[in-house]
Amino acid sequence: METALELKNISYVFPNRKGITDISLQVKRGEIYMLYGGHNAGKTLLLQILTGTVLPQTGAIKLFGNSDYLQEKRRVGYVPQNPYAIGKMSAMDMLHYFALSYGVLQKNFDKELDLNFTEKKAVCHLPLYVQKKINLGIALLGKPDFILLDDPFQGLDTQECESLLSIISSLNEERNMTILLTGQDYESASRIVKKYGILADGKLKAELTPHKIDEECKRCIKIRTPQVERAITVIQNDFPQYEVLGDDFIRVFCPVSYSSRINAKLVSSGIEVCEIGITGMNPQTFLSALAGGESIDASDYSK
Amino acid sequence: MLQIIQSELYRIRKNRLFFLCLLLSTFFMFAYALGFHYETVKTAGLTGDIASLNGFTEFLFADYSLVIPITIFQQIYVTEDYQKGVHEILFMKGVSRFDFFFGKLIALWITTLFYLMFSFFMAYIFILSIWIKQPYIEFSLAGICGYLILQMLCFVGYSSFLWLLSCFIPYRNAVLVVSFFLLGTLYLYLTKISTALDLEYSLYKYWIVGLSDQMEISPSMSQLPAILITIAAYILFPTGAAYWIYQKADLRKHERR
Repeated sequence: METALELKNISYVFPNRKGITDISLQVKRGEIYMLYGGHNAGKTLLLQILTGTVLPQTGAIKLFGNSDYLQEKRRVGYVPQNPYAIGKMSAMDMLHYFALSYGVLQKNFDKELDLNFTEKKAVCHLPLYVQKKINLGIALLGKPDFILLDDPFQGLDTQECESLLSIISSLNEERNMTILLTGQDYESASRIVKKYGILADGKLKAELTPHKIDEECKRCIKIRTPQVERAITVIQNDFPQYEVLGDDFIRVFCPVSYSSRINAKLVSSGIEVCEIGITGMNPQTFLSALAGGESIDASDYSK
Repeated sequence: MLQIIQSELYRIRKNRLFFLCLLLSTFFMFAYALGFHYETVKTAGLTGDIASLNGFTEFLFADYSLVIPITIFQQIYVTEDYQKGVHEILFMKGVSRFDFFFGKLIALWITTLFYLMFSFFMAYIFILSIWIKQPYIEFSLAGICGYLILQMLCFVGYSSFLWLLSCFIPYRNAVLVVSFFLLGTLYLYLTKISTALDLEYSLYKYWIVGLSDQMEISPSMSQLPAILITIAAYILFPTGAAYWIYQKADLRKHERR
């Protein structure tokens, strides 16, 4: 699949030593990629680098295969975190203003975004969700191939998130648009996102696919024992779904309430059990822990 | 750049503040017409003055009534971009800083000229309505036209100066305070210094608003080069300096406040 965006060792560090360091990632054409991270993780700064507002101190960016990525700007639409409105302009006026600035005539996406352009009310007085959709409409001027959405679900209720998700999804499917979004709302994003980049303290901690996250988050019983082979022979009849990780680590996929039964069985068979416990977690908690730099139980979750 | 000029003119057309400024200036023009009529024609018996359009045209620039509305409009309009983060959105789509800077500046110059022409039109409508029964109105068309052209150039220079100020201080309240502070203090001190030094060509005339204030319909030929140089300097230097600042500015720092 063709690469839409390629970042190689991108760094931008502010004098107070905050910023992003050594970020490398790839977003494939037609992919929905989410940069997941907490506050000050560097998500917005990375988007600002992509928009050209900030030039990276080191590293290289390729947009649609062009290393002079600023030349490809017209193919990118950007929706900032906080919606913008100009004075008391209505949605139609704002759209017309930006269309004139970009030299674009077509504005045929009102049905796609479910926007009412006959609304005379100033954009700044409209609900946050509508403001976000208008900003998305402006980003869609000029039929871009790539959309950057900075924390699109922030401040929206469940129904609004649903609606925005279906809009993003249809843009991706029907127009084959590549979408890069940032945020912390896994629950909403997980329905459309095809790849996650976990940002923490300005570094890319991990890149995960939804499948990988599901795998990693599976609730299971972990057993640490020096006698792995013997332990397997003891438990495999009752618990056939297991996985051996390393020389002394087994994960057993079964109801977690069976942990005491497994422990009793192993001990009664004379197998030394160094550690037994429940592992796996909710994906949101898992990602938050990864992004927050908190110690999550299984060290093998990280990239 | 033409696209930016077009879009900025569209935005100004949709700006209520601009129409408020036009309304305010219309009121000032009405007040000027009444005031001038009262001071000259109505008291002609005492002073011997006659209805003079030349005198009225100079009277239009006798104080800062035309300067104040355009100062308020321009500073609020320009700093709005920093507040709303408009730069980021435009630059994202490949609009260059050069195009945005000069496109917006030229749109502001056009707006200033429109504002002045509208104000002049209203002023002449008011004064001619008041003088409709006057048997004789003195005027020199060439003199008035030349004078108004110089005044318009002065305002274009002033517009560039305001643009420079807003690049220096991209915060709405601060730049408004500084603009009005300059209007007040420069008048006060430059006139005082010139009087104290007994200067033939007042220092106040080197301040573009002062030049507009003290310009006469028929300036002496010896003063014309100084006037033209002052206007040219106010158009060119603030524009160059403002562009230099704007090019280097980290706009992220100013946006979304």
